[in-house]
Formats: sequence, C-alpha cells, structure tokens
Amino acid sequence: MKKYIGEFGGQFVPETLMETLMELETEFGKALADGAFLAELHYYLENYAGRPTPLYFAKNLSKKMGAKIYLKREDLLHTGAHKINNALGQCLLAKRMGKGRVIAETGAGQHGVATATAAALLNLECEIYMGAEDVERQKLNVYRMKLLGAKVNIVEAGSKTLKNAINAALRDYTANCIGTHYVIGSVVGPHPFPTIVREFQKVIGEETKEQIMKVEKTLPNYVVACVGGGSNALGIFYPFVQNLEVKLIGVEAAGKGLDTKEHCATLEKGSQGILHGMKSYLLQDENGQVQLTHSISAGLDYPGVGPYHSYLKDTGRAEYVSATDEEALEAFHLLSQLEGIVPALEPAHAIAHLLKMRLKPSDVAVICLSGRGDKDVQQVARMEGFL
Amino acid sequence: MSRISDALKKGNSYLPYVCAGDPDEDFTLQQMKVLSKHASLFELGIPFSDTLADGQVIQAASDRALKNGITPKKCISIIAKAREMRISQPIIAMTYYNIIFKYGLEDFCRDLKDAGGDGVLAADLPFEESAELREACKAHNLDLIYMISPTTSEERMKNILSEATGFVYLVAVIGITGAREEMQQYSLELIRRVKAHSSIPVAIGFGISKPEHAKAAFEAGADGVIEGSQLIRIYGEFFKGGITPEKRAAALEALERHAKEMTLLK
Repeated sequence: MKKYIGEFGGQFVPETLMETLMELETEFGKALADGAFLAELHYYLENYAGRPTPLYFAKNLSKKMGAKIYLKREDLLHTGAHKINNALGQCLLAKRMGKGRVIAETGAGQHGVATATAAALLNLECEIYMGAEDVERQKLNVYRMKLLGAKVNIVEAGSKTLKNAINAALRDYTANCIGTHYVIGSVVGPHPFPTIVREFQKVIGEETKEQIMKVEKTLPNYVVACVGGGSNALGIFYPFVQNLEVKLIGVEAAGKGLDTKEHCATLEKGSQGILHGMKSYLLQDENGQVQLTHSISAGLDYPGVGPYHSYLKDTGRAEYVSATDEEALEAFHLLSQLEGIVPALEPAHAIAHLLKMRLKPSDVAVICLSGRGDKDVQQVARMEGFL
Repeated sequence: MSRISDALKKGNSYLPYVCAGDPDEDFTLQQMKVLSKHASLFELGIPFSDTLADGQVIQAASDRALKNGITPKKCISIIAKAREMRISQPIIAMTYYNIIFKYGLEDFCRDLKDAGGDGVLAADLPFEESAELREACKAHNLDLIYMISPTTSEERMKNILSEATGFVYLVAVIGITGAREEMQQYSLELIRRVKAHSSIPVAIGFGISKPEHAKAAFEAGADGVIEGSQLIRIYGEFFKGGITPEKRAAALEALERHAKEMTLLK
C-alpha cells in the first residue's frame, strides 16, 4: 500500500504507534483479499445498513436549476449518514484482528453513532471522544451513543471540537494500541487510515457510476460533495478520478466568510502542514500553530483535510470551493421545501454551491447527500428563534 | 563524538524537560538556571497547539505558554539567553514536527545551532519519516534524537540505532507523557534490551517522577532519566491563584530540591 499520494500522507505519529500501524496495514491488506471478509461486509451493508442507496432524480431542484440534478441518497442509510459504511468495515476489521475494544472521535456525532451502532452489532466495547462544544450542538446524538451502549468522553481541551476529539482518541490509541482499534471517521490520520476509509467509502461512487449509466447512459458532468475531512467526497469522487470528463467539486465550509478567521476552508485558505499523523493542507498560523475553525456544521469544523484531497487539489483533478453558514442554511430550507428532503447541514453546503453553478440543460450533476438533517433540526430551530 | 553523548556517557544523568514560556520566558530561564546544578542536559519544549503525545500536564503548560505569546523563534532565543547566563549543558529542542516543518527544516536547524542548541527531537516524527530532518541536522552539526518504545520491534530498533546520534530516548510506558506512581517491569526490560545494542547513551522518560524511578532506571543500565510533567506540576502548585515574585522564588526552590533528590540516589 502506498504511504503517500503525491507529497501528502505519511505516518507522523509517536514511535509507540508505529508497529500498530504496520500491523494494521498488513491485516487490512489481507482482509481486502479475503472473499469471506468482503462477503460479510457486503451482507451487512445490504441487509443492515440499506445499500445500495438510491440515486434520486431531484425533479423540482432540476427544474429550478435548468439541468438534471441527481441526489445520491446516503441520508437514507441506517443511522442517517454515509459514516456507517466505514464504521461497519472497520469494526469488522477490528474483530478480525482480535481487538475487543474500539474507539472513535466524532464531530457532528454521526460517526460516533455509526461506530457505536457497529460496535453494538458486533459485540465490541466502544468509547467515543467528542468535543464539549459539539456535545452542546448535538446533544441528541450523545444520547443515541449512550443508548447504543457506548461510553462518551467529553473533550474539554482547546477549541472543544473535532480536532481535539481526534487528539484525545490518538492518545487513547497510543496508550491502548495492543487491544484497541481506532475507528477513524474520515479519510485523515496516519497511513493506512486514509486508504482504509477511502476503500470502505468508495462504494458510494461505484454505485453512483452504475446507477447514472443506467438512467442517463453517460457519466455525469459534475459530482459535488461537501468536504470536512473529506470521506463522503472521496467516497463518491474516487471511482470517477480516472474519468477526466467528470468534474469533481468539493465544497468546504466558509463559516462566517473567507475574509474572517471563522471558517474551515482548509484547501482554499490553508498551507501544507502536519497534523493528526498526516502531511496535508492545514489551517495554521505563521508559527505552525493550528488555527481555531468555525462552521455551523460540526461535521465540517476541522482545520485539516484528507491527504488525497490535497493531492486532487494540487494536481487540478478536483476543484475546491466553499459555502458560508448562511448559504448552507438557505440550502437546508430550500431542499426541504423543494424535494421534501431535510439535508444535514454538511451536505447543505454542497447544495448551496450547486445553487451558485451555471448549468446547461444537458448537464447532469450528482450531489452526494451524505446525511439527513434530523440531527440539525433542533439547532436550526433554536437559531431561528422557534425553540 | 557529540557534546550530548559526551555529557551523558558519565552515567546517572538527569535530563529535565522545561516547557518554554510557561508561564513566561523569565521563569523558563530561571528554572534552567536552578536545575543546571543537577542537570546533564536540557530538553527545551517548544509548545505546539496539538500535543498528541502528551498528557494533560504538558498539554496545559503548552496552552498557557501559547496564550502568553511564545513562538518557536522566542524559544530559540531562550537558548541563546541561557548560553549568556552560562548554562553550559547541551540543550535539545523538543517539539512536534509541524513546528519545524513550518519554520523550514534548514532555517530551524541553522537558527537552533546559532543560538547554541545541540539537538532536535520531534515527538511525532518516527524513524521512517525522518530522513529530511536528519540531513538538515547533519548539515548543522546537530543530533537528531530518536525514540524507542516498548512496542518497537527488534528490526526497527536496529534500524533506529544505526542512525541515532547523541542519545537514544526510551519511552518508558505504552502511552503518553505524565507522572506515574510505579516504574513498570517492561520499562526496565526496555532499558536492558536497548542498552545491549546501543553504542550511544540511553535515557528514559515518560512517567518518571520519583527518585526511586531514577534509581531503578540507573540500576537497569540507563545512562540518564528524563523528567517533565512532574516538574511542571511542582511549580504549578505554587502558581495556583496568581503568580507573585515570592511564589516564583518558592517554586524555584522546590524545583531545585526535587532535582537534587532525583540525583541523590546514584
């Protein structure tokens, strides 16, 4: 397995973790070559999680945009987001490696819920790290994780969001590397994690490709997805990377605006750096201290990004843009009203960018609707003074 | 032979870790001055926002220092000031790789050397990723310090030792930094295992906080013991509820007393 993609990736971790990562790479390679492992994963994805997910032709949105818009409905999966694809894969991998305990970080709570779910299903002990601010924003998901039998550790350090939850999970992983597997939730972290998560998420793009060929008899002109760490985006982009006629667009969170300090548009505003075991783009100050970030969506509120996205940006294969909190909120309302689909605030950023695009009637665009908005309804209702 | 190896090969060495800028630069220098009576080498910690190899004590110290405006450049200037104050022990800069990467590997090594530094350690830079920094260190006559942990395999240990200069930093625990009550048997076995293969001194850190720990480590063959979190805890006790000149003096006295105890049981 390749440790780097272009100049990005690598393994920047304390020495104690090195042997664990090497073992993980070996075991993951074996699992991918094992028909029985893949069959079991496929069984759970189909019968438990609800794959394949529909590629829905969004009739009303298409009319508004004057082009053909499809939504890849990852929001219909069990637990409400694409995160379950990876959580099932990694928990099966943990089981295969004989590890009885899994840990995970979570921002919006979706990955924490997905991991707690897979751990309950597969009889694994489970602890989740979540920043105190995110606990506030996503209280219901905290309760869901507890309901599923997981222990939730509230992280009070630093900005009290996803970045600090990952630090805490990496410390736990270092101390318990022998019996614990770290189910990292995005295409980030030291090698082989970005590859593992990509492999478990690429099913999104593989299905999309097959589905769009069936109805449109052609590949889409555009594939659009939101990017925090970038797992749903890489999941849908990856199978299209070789198809150069397909434009890949990643949408980061511009928070209160790119001219403020309150955003998390890593690829647009960041520079190369090392965080959480990987070399990638990073929001940092001139001294290399990682910056505080902001987004209305906890799931995008992260100062780094997966190394593969840095590579796609630098090679020009994918374009990275951003949408503000305000634009995402508008899109959140618009999709709810136009299509009867309440999106999570994360993919609402992808919808928000779509609304800014100029499309021709013959254009086909696929948006990755990575999660449903149930978790955000309370937060938005409160912000709008309804609650 | 490097100044670092020379300083540690006498054995029974004490290597304090000082978090630069916590709570301010003056205190860092005063601390180094009083500890220099007992120290064989200083690790000067350059604070980073995301200290993933560190426990709560060093995390909190780094955060305080950053809040008070410490920067990598100021940390390097602390070394120059320490030399002006006739603190002569070798000093290594201990940090995370992003600090060095952002500074620029070449520039960092040059400035560190010019200030009177002797070596570099990046807690999240394992052997496999270290070739570039090793080259930069060599070019500026600095030692790049490597870590070996209880989980390190025989094969990787040998690879690491083939490139290690200065001293080898043994990670006593499977985990992060922070004072521990007991010294584990596996920590002592690690000392024996590495000592048998190493041509340069070995020092052990992570969890070391008591004279008994130091004694056990020396008896197992360690050339030095490294202590960080416990020192921060000692002065932190004095600084609760505000810092006064009296509290500073009392904290320095307590630090010196502790360092003396750590080196008495030779």
